Amino acid sequence: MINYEKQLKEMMKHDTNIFSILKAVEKLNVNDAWGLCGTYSK
Amino acid sequence: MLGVCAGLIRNKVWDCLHHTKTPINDIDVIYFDTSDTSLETEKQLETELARFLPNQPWSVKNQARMHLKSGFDPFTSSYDGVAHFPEIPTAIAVRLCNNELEIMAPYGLQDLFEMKVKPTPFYQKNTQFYSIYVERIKKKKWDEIWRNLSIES
Repeated sequence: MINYEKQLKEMMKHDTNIFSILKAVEKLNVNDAWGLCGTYSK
Repeated sequence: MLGVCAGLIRNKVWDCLHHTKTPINDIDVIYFDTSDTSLETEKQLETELARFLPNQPWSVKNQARMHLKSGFDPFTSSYDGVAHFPEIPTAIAVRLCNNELEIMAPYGLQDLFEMKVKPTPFYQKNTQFYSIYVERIKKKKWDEIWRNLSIES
């Protein structure tokens, strides 16, 4: 079975531009109800 | 905590699968906060993000406000908001949490990686929102950028 989640994480990790974006977003502090994580079906 | 969603992630995957690199059109950032649904707060967050990382096309949207213009019932979380995005490969969000990438994909990642574009259940044929999906597909012309896409219309 193909592990798409792992592939996506690898793609993100190797893109320094996207990683900088994610780091910037991580710095913001707001109230949030993110909900479920993962690739679950709704 | 906020997350990055939709086109930025989708396009990155399609770029990798096509061995190409397309420019970033916008950076959609989402969160869910029913205690403050003002547009001004979203703009303020965009300003803060621009301070951390300038010259980027930031677009912050509180999913607790989106029902006001979308016509859906109010969303209950960021996850619920992402589940209501028009296309399955667009219905994705990621965020960093202690340097670990967390993925939110209400319909899974298979269609995204198999380059299949389909509407989410809310935009399928015979729904009131189907025309929005069709118009988006026409306007975006994704198949001219990523040749191996299979687009349902």
